[in-house]
Amino acid sequence: MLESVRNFLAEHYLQLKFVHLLAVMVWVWSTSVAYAFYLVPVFKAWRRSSGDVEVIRLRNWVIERFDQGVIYEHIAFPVILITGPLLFWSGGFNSGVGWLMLKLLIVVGLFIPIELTDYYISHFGGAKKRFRDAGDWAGYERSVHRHWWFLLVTSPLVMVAGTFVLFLAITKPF
Amino acid sequence: MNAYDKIGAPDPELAGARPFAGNPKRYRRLAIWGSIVIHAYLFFGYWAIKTFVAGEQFPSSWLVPAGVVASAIWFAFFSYRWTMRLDAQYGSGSRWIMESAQIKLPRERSEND
Repeated sequence: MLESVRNFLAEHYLQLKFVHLLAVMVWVWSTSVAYAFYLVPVFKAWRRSSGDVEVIRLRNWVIERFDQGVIYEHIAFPVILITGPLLFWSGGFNSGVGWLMLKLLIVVGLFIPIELTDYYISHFGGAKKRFRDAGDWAGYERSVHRHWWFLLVTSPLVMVAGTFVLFLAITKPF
Repeated sequence: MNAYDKIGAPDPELAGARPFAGNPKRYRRLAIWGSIVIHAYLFFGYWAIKTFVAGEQFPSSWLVPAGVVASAIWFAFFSYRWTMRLDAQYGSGSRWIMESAQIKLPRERSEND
Protein backbone atom coordinates (compact mmCIF):
# COMPACT_ATOMS: atom_id res chain seq x y z
CA MET A 1 0.00 0.00 0.00
CA LEU A 2 2.68 2.50 1.10
CA GLU A 3 4.84 1.46 -1.82
CA SER A 4 2.05 2.14 -4.30
CA VAL A 5 1.49 5.60 -2.75
CA ARG A 6 5.20 6.26 -3.00
CA ASN A 7 5.25 5.15 -6.63
CA PHE A 8 2.30 7.39 -7.39
CA LEU A 9 4.04 10.37 -5.77
CA ALA A 10 7.29 9.56 -7.55
CA GLU A 11 5.45 9.60 -10.88
CA HIS A 12 4.07 13.03 -9.97
CA TYR A 13 7.26 14.32 -8.37
CA LEU A 14 7.44 17.49 -10.46
CA GLN A 15 3.79 18.36 -9.81
CA LEU A 16 4.40 17.87 -6.09
CA LYS A 17 7.51 20.04 -6.34
CA PHE A 18 5.44 22.71 -8.08
CA VAL A 19 2.98 22.80 -5.16
CA HIS A 20 5.88 22.89 -2.69
CA LEU A 21 7.63 25.76 -4.47
CA LEU A 22 4.40 27.69 -4.95
CA ALA A 23 3.75 27.44 -1.21
CA VAL A 24 7.35 28.49 -0.48
CA MET A 25 6.92 31.58 -2.66
CA VAL A 26 3.69 32.53 -0.90
CA TRP A 27 5.30 31.89 2.48
CA VAL A 28 8.37 33.98 1.68
CA TRP A 29 6.84 36.93 -0.15
CA SER A 30 3.18 37.31 0.83
CA THR A 31 3.83 39.75 3.68
CA SER A 32 6.90 41.48 2.33
CA VAL A 33 5.29 44.67 0.98
CA ALA A 34 3.00 45.09 3.98
CA TYR A 35 5.94 44.51 6.31
CA ALA A 36 8.53 46.73 4.63
CA PHE A 37 6.42 49.62 3.44
CA TYR A 38 3.51 49.81 5.90
CA LEU A 39 4.29 48.11 9.19
CA VAL A 40 7.95 49.07 9.57
CA PRO A 41 7.55 52.82 8.79
CA VAL A 42 4.69 53.10 11.27
CA PHE A 43 6.55 51.22 13.98
CA LYS A 44 9.64 53.34 13.39
CA ALA A 45 7.46 56.42 13.79
CA TRP A 46 6.13 54.94 17.03
CA ARG A 47 9.65 54.25 18.33
CA ARG A 48 10.66 57.83 17.58
CA SER A 49 7.42 59.40 18.82
CA SER A 50 6.15 56.85 21.28
CA GLY A 51 3.78 59.23 23.03
CA ASP A 52 2.07 60.49 19.89
CA VAL A 53 -1.63 59.68 20.03
CA GLU A 54 -2.10 59.53 16.27
CA VAL A 55 0.93 57.31 15.79
CA ILE A 56 -0.29 54.90 18.48
CA ARG A 57 -3.70 54.66 16.82
CA LEU A 58 -2.10 54.02 13.44
CA ARG A 59 0.34 51.49 14.98
CA ASN A 60 -2.57 49.56 16.45
CA TRP A 61 -4.45 49.60 13.17
CA VAL A 62 -1.41 48.47 11.18
CA ILE A 63 -0.52 45.61 13.50
CA GLU A 64 -4.12 44.35 13.51
CA ARG A 65 -4.18 44.42 9.71
CA PHE A 66 -0.83 42.61 9.72
CA ASP A 67 -2.29 39.94 12.02
CA GLN A 68 -4.80 39.28 9.25
CA GLY A 69 -2.31 39.78 6.43
CA VAL A 70 -0.16 36.86 7.52
CA ILE A 71 -3.02 34.45 6.85
CA TYR A 72 -1.65 33.66 3.37
CA GLU A 73 1.75 32.94 4.87
CA HIS A 74 0.19 30.74 7.52
CA ILE A 75 -1.84 28.75 5.02
CA ALA A 76 1.23 28.24 2.83
CA PHE A 77 3.46 27.01 5.67
CA PRO A 78 1.54 23.78 6.43
CA VAL A 79 1.48 23.06 2.69
CA ILE A 80 5.29 23.30 2.72
CA LEU A 81 5.47 21.01 5.74
CA ILE A 82 3.26 18.40 4.05
CA THR A 83 4.76 18.49 0.57
CA GLY A 84 8.38 18.70 1.79
CA PRO A 85 8.43 15.29 3.51
CA LEU A 86 6.47 13.80 0.59
CA LEU A 87 9.17 15.05 -1.79
CA PHE A 88 11.84 13.59 0.49
CA TRP A 89 10.05 10.26 0.61
CA SER A 90 9.16 9.97 -3.05
CA GLY A 91 12.42 11.45 -4.33
CA GLY A 92 14.62 8.79 -2.79
CA PHE A 93 16.62 11.21 -0.66
CA ASN A 94 18.62 10.10 2.34
CA SER A 95 20.81 11.51 5.11
CA GLY A 96 23.83 11.46 2.81
CA VAL A 97 22.47 14.44 0.89
CA GLY A 98 24.28 17.24 2.70
CA TRP A 99 22.47 20.31 1.39
CA LEU A 100 19.10 18.76 2.21
CA MET A 101 20.11 17.82 5.75
CA LEU A 102 21.30 21.36 6.45
CA LYS A 103 18.11 22.76 4.93
CA LEU A 104 16.00 20.46 7.10
CA LEU A 105 17.92 21.50 10.21
CA ILE A 106 17.09 25.13 9.44
CA VAL A 107 13.43 24.37 8.71
CA VAL A 108 12.87 22.16 11.75
CA GLY A 109 14.98 24.04 14.28
CA LEU A 110 14.43 27.64 13.20
CA PHE A 111 11.48 28.11 10.86
CA ILE A 112 8.97 25.84 12.59
CA PRO A 113 9.44 27.42 16.05
CA ILE A 114 9.32 30.90 14.50
CA GLU A 115 6.11 30.10 12.64
CA LEU A 116 4.46 28.47 15.66
CA THR A 117 5.17 31.64 17.62
CA ASP A 118 3.85 33.72 14.74
CA TYR A 119 0.62 31.68 14.63
CA TYR A 120 0.15 32.30 18.33
CA ILE A 121 0.80 36.04 18.33
CA SER A 122 -1.14 36.69 15.13
CA HIS A 123 -4.20 34.44 15.38
CA PHE A 124 -4.52 32.85 18.80
CA GLY A 125 -3.64 34.06 22.30
CA GLY A 126 -1.60 37.03 21.11
CA ALA A 127 -3.98 38.31 18.42
CA LYS A 128 -4.55 42.02 19.03
CA LYS A 129 -8.20 41.94 18.00
CA ARG A 130 -8.92 39.49 20.84
CA PHE A 131 -7.62 42.00 23.37
CA ARG A 132 -9.53 44.83 21.70
CA ASP A 133 -12.76 42.83 21.77
CA ALA A 134 -12.17 41.95 25.42
CA GLY A 135 -11.42 45.58 26.29
CA ASP A 136 -8.09 44.47 27.78
CA TRP A 137 -5.94 47.42 26.75
CA ALA A 138 -3.02 46.59 29.00
CA GLY A 139 -2.98 43.14 27.40
CA TYR A 140 -3.33 44.76 23.99
CA GLU A 141 -0.24 46.88 24.58
CA ARG A 142 1.73 43.90 25.89
CA SER A 143 0.73 41.95 22.81
CA VAL A 144 1.86 44.73 20.45
CA HIS A 145 5.20 44.93 22.25
CA ARG A 146 5.59 41.14 22.12
CA HIS A 147 4.89 41.20 18.39
CA TRP A 148 7.48 43.93 17.85
CA TRP A 149 10.04 41.95 19.86
CA PHE A 150 9.25 38.96 17.68
CA LEU A 151 9.80 40.95 14.48
CA LEU A 152 12.99 42.58 15.77
CA VAL A 153 14.52 39.25 16.73
CA THR A 154 13.37 37.10 13.82
CA SER A 155 13.67 39.50 10.84
CA PRO A 156 17.46 39.26 10.35
CA LEU A 157 17.38 35.52 10.95
CA VAL A 158 14.55 34.92 8.49
CA MET A 159 16.24 37.05 5.83
CA VAL A 160 19.58 35.25 6.06
CA ALA A 161 18.31 31.73 6.74
CA GLY A 162 15.55 32.04 4.11
CA THR A 163 18.02 33.16 1.46
CA PHE A 164 20.45 30.41 2.47
CA VAL A 165 17.73 27.74 2.27
CA LEU A 166 16.76 28.90 -1.23
CA PHE A 167 20.45 28.84 -2.21
CA LEU A 168 20.86 25.31 -0.88
CA ALA A 169 17.70 24.05 -2.58
CA ILE A 170 18.55 25.54 -5.97
CA THR A 171 22.32 25.03 -6.20
CA LYS A 172 22.57 21.79 -4.15
CA PRO A 173 26.22 22.60 -3.42
CA PHE A 174 27.20 19.48 -1.41
CA MET B 1 4.51 61.85 34.57
CA ASN B 2 5.61 60.28 31.27
CA ALA B 3 4.46 61.01 27.75
CA TYR B 4 1.69 58.46 28.08
CA ASP B 5 0.21 60.05 31.15
CA LYS B 6 0.19 63.40 29.37
CA ILE B 7 -2.08 62.02 26.68
CA GLY B 8 -4.94 62.40 29.09
CA ALA B 9 -7.30 60.83 26.64
CA PRO B 10 -10.38 58.98 27.82
CA ASP B 11 -9.75 56.47 25.06
CA PRO B 12 -8.40 53.33 26.82
CA GLU B 13 -6.61 52.33 23.60
CA LEU B 14 -4.25 55.24 24.17
CA ALA B 15 -4.20 55.25 27.95
CA GLY B 16 -2.94 51.64 27.86
CA ALA B 17 0.14 52.65 25.86
CA ARG B 18 3.48 52.05 27.59
CA PRO B 19 7.16 52.51 26.68
CA PHE B 20 8.84 49.69 24.77
CA ALA B 21 11.55 47.80 26.68
CA GLY B 22 13.96 47.28 23.77
CA ASN B 23 17.34 49.04 23.86
CA PRO B 24 20.76 48.71 22.16
CA LYS B 25 22.28 46.77 25.05
CA ARG B 26 19.58 44.12 24.89
CA TYR B 27 19.80 43.95 21.11
CA ARG B 28 23.56 43.43 21.25
CA ARG B 29 23.22 40.64 23.79
CA LEU B 30 20.49 38.98 21.72
CA ALA B 31 22.52 39.26 18.52
CA ILE B 32 25.65 37.71 20.04
CA TRP B 33 23.99 34.88 21.95
CA GLY B 34 21.47 34.25 19.18
CA SER B 35 24.25 33.88 16.63
CA ILE B 36 26.26 31.54 18.88
CA VAL B 37 23.26 29.32 19.68
CA ILE B 38 22.07 29.11 16.06
CA HIS B 39 25.51 28.31 14.66
CA ALA B 40 26.20 25.75 17.38
CA TYR B 41 22.84 24.11 16.70
CA LEU B 42 23.49 23.93 12.95
CA PHE B 43 27.08 22.74 13.26
CA PHE B 44 26.47 20.05 15.86
CA GLY B 45 23.13 19.07 14.33
CA TYR B 46 24.79 18.54 10.96
CA TRP B 47 27.69 16.73 12.61
CA ALA B 48 25.26 14.40 14.41
CA ILE B 49 23.35 13.59 11.20
CA LYS B 50 26.51 12.98 9.22
CA THR B 51 28.22 10.94 11.93
CA PHE B 52 25.40 8.90 13.43
CA VAL B 53 22.84 8.66 10.62
CA ALA B 54 24.80 8.87 7.38
CA GLY B 55 27.95 7.29 8.83
CA GLU B 56 30.23 9.81 7.17
CA GLN B 57 33.26 11.75 8.35
CA PHE B 58 32.42 15.36 9.28
CA PRO B 59 33.98 17.87 9.22
CA SER B 60 36.32 16.85 6.46
CA SER B 61 38.57 19.89 6.83
CA TRP B 62 39.38 22.68 9.28
CA LEU B 63 37.79 25.10 6.80
CA VAL B 64 34.31 24.01 7.92
CA PRO B 65 34.58 25.00 11.62
CA ALA B 66 36.53 28.11 10.58
CA GLY B 67 33.70 29.05 8.22
CA VAL B 68 31.13 28.47 10.95
CA VAL B 69 33.01 30.75 13.36
CA ALA B 70 33.37 33.43 10.67
CA SER B 71 29.67 33.14 9.85
CA ALA B 72 28.72 33.42 13.54
CA ILE B 73 30.77 36.60 13.93
CA TRP B 74 29.33 38.09 10.75
CA PHE B 75 25.74 37.19 11.67
CA ALA B 76 26.07 38.70 15.16
CA PHE B 77 27.15 42.01 13.58
CA PHE B 78 24.54 41.79 10.84
CA SER B 79 21.61 40.99 13.10
CA TYR B 80 22.58 43.66 15.63
CA ARG B 81 22.74 46.35 12.96
CA TRP B 82 19.52 45.09 11.35
CA THR B 83 17.65 45.17 14.67
CA MET B 84 18.97 48.62 15.52
CA ARG B 85 17.96 49.96 12.12
CA LEU B 86 14.56 48.29 12.31
CA ASP B 87 13.90 49.74 15.74
CA ALA B 88 14.81 53.28 14.58
CA GLN B 89 17.89 53.44 16.82
CA TYR B 90 20.05 54.91 14.05
CA GLY B 91 19.56 58.36 12.59
CA SER B 92 17.02 60.99 13.49
CA GLY B 93 14.27 60.02 11.09
CA SER B 94 14.70 63.36 9.36
CA ARG B 95 14.02 61.78 5.97
CA TRP B 96 10.42 61.35 7.08
CA ILE B 97 7.86 64.00 7.88
CA MET B 98 4.94 63.48 10.22
CA GLU B 99 1.73 64.90 8.88
CA SER B 100 -1.25 65.09 11.14
CA ALA B 101 -4.43 63.98 9.41
CA GLN B 102 -8.00 63.38 10.41
CA ILE B 103 -8.91 60.02 8.97
CA LYS B 104 -11.09 57.00 9.64
CA LEU B 105 -9.34 53.68 10.12
CA PRO B 106 -11.49 50.81 8.87
CA ARG B 107 -11.86 47.82 11.17
CA GLU B 108 -13.92 44.69 10.92
CA ARG B 109 -16.86 44.59 13.28
CA SER B 110 -16.29 42.69 16.48
CA GLU B 111 -18.95 40.81 18.45
CA ASN B 112 -19.26 43.80 20.78
CA ASP B 113 -19.99 46.33 18.00
